[in-house]
Amino acid sequence: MGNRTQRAASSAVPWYGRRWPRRLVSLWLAFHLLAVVLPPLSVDPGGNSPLIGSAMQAVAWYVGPLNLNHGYRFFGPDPPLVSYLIHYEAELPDGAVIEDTLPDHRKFWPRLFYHRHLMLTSRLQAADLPPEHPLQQMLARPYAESYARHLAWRHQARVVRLYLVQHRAPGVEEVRRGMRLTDPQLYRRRLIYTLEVASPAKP
Amino acid sequence: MNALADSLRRTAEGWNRFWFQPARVETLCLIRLLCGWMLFYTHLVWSLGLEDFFGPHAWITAEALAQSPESHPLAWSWFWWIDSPALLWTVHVAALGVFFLFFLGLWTPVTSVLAFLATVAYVHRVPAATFGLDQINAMLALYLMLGPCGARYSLDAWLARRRGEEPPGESVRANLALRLIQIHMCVMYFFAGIGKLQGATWWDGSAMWWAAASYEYQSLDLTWMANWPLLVALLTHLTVWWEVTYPALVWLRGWRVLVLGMAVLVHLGIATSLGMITFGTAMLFGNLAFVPGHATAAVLQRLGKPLASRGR
Repeated sequence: MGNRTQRAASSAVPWYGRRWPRRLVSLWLAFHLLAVVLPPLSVDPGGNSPLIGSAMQAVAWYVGPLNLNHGYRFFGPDPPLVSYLIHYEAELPDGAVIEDTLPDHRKFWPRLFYHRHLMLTSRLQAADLPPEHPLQQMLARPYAESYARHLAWRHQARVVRLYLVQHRAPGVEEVRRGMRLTDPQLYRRRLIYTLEVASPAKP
Repeated sequence: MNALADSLRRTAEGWNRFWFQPARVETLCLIRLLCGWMLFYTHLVWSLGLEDFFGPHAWITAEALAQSPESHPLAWSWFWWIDSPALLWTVHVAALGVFFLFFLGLWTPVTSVLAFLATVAYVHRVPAATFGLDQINAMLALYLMLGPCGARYSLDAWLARRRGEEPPGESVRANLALRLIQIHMCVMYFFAGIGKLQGATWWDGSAMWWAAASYEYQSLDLTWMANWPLLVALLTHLTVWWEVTYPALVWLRGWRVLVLGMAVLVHLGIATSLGMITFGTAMLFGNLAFVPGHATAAVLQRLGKPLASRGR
């Protein structure tokens, strides 16, 4: 009878009032907080610590699937002094050439849709690194190839030439002298990838 | 020895008070309502380029993503198994349905989990097209799953009342979810702040100019700031100070209004001037976690009165 009363009393206690459930949840909370803090600690240029690196490896199975592996720099270490756009030429089987520059906020609406494309083109900024960084430069190549393949499929093109367009933001003095944000002097363009397709796929 | 044991006991008591004390559910439910709408809108916009981003010939191929540092072997997404446009659209429309039901607060114990899974599935397929908005969307969806986020301002609550049941007013799970959102917001701001301390422009006071002068980001012409260097420097330094001190000051009752007030100014500024309306407002939804439930209830009740009287 006594046992039954005790059991009934303990089942009336909510989980957070019981010691073991609370301890288990506390253990998970401690682990989770560690997993939230480690990814931003491991972002470059702070990502060279062997301690943080090992700890990150230990929590990778958790932060990856839950999408917690972010650095949260938001315009850090500096806001974008240069924006990266794509200009492409898609040569069709009949010899016609389609050209365009991405992203263009007059063409992509709403703003979020434009921003998605801006993020895509920003990933090519590694191609703009000086030759002293060959490894980082290589990071841009898979994206450039992938974008070219997509454009070839989209336009059923035979050849796609992909140009990286750097758009430098003007300084305060330049704007005071009357320079506009879209002044042609602020743009620089160079070919970064050419794709030749044997048989263009149908979109 | 006794002092150490005392200190440990006090720490444990503080931990339990922080995490396992019931909290009013209103704020969490309001975050669900707003985040649910944001999830629906964010994913509705993907519809404009669904095949371009998620189809078999998407901007990012599986091979390109595998070579990218953004990929993770466990970053799963159901889009990897979808080859046909018809199936792609079916899954997308189903996901939009889930987000909409989550926004309405129908079957929230189930739709909250599905909303999180769907959010992550989209992000993991095209990490190169994502940004801060997707990080906060996924973070809020993750924590909303843990609490009774459909207990108010939802169809679940309306149906419960029709059955004669009263939805919970306070809950430990609501507290856990809100605490996790609060801490995650502190982590975000802190690292955003110290990350900026590594950049020269945040020290020389010019960072706000460079943000304003980025044609690709700006949605409002701010070039007039070129004639206001002191204002540019003030805004630059204020942003860093606010971000770095946020995780400490937001917990102090006396400072909280000021810190959250700054959050409103900063994020409305980002939303209106830097073309990131969705990101700016989603960050504000996260900041709501610091608003006590009774304040949320009072404000919504006051806002609801004119609507109710108009409905009569």
